Amino acid sequence: MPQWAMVIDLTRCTGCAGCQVACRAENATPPGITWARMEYFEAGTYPNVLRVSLPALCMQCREPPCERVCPSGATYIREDGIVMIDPELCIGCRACMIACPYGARYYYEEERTYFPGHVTPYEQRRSRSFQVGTVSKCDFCAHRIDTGLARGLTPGVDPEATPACVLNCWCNARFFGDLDDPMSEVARLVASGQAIQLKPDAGTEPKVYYLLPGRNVVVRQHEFRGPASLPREFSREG
Amino acid sequence: MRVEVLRDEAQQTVWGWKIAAYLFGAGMGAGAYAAGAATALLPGWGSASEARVYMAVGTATVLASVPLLVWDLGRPERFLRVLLKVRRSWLSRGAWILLLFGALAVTTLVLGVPRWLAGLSLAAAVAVALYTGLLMGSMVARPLWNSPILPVLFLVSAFSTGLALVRLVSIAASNGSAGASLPAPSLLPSVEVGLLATETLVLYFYLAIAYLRIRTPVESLLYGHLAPTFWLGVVGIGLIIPLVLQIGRVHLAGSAAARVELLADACLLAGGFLLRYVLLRAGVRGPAYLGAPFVIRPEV
Repeated sequence: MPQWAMVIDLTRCTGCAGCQVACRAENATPPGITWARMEYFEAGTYPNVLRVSLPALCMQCREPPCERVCPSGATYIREDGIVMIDPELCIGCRACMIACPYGARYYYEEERTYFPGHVTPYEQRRSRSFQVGTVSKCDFCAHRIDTGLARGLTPGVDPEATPACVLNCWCNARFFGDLDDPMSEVARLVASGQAIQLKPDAGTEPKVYYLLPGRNVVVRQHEFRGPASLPREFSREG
Repeated sequence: MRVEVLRDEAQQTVWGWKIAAYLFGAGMGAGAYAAGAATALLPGWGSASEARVYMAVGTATVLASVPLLVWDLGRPERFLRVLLKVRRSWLSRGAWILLLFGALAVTTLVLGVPRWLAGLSLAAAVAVALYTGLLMGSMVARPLWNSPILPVLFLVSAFSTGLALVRLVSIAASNGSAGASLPAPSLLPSVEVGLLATETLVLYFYLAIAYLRIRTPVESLLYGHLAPTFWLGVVGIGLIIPLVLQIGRVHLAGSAAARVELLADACLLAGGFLLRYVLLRAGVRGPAYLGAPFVIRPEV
């Protein structure tokens, strides 16, 4: 069985958020639900500072904490390693949203459409996936992978079988493929030892990897200040 | 090196006041039930009829809190699915623990209070009070909660709020029926003072150790946006006022003592709810990129 994985090269990413738009167009996620989202932040101290654009999505962990806390079995791991949610089984307890270290899960609290009182063709297309009162998340465009494989295509190589965010990345910052196939681009990038996982301490073993331009500044846990203390933080120290 | 985080949850909003109310209610009910079982088992705590009243109050409080959990679900009509599969999720285990406690508690109340059954139901009550702490304490994604001390804190708080609840009920009952039916036993207030002191210590160590791990949520409690609720509600109303009133009550007698005790217990209960509420709210995740090694190349 293949193990689908993604490598995102942050040295190439321009932060255009094309992945976010492509995901929304492909999956018709309701307003407020952004499976593939962009995060922008700054690191370092003056004059050595860096503005980072980080495309984030479900990390498709090998040890998904969301699956462990799910009381109804709605979250499950497919044989190809994709973490899925069965909206028919989800009871909407949101324990998975508490458990996910990456904020990859979204709760569909109430019926929302982009244009009130009007459902666009995009929204009609995958409306079954969004049940009110359940949780949803990125599934590596599993429908594209499945239909592509059925047609004999190779995900990560053939556009029809590849996740929409990868296709739409005009910087070629996203790579998708089978981690178990040593010839695939993702397997070679991961094997290079340069690819890192987010929050490795959480023990989740993500299958989404990032290529960073080097290793000088570590965003440490005790250094982060949430908006809780934003006013204080705006008066920069040093 | 410092990092500014502009897009992160300011406070945890996934689980809100309904879950806080459940944590409070189930803990308080389990504590009241444990007080009843202890009264039945230990000499000098009170009569068998008092024990039964305490157990009944505890059982009713736990059972009344469970609907809050169902109400909080996105799909309340599917709640029985939690019991369809035995899973390693603490939510699933908690559902079984609640079911077991309900069955044991109702059996105890019907059969009277034989010693062995009281011991067994005491264990079930402790499990009800503990599992929520284990559920939250096992969330690696929430550094503030992810602590072995959280279940201890919840347990001690469950005992103190449970005791306050049965004291409130017995005082109210003794006033209502001319003071004859349920005399408030003299041992319980001193137990309550001990529990409050223990809770203060446990809360201190919990926050101190959490601070070594992650600062932001602890700072939001100590001097951030949750500080007023934490200091006034949890520490002031929930710990200091009940402690002072319970200790000072010794010098009073009669109805004045009962009124002071009533106030102390009411404050303790309010603090018990607020403790769960602020801990829930402060349980932020931290941005996805924490710990990621980013490079900064100075311009040459």
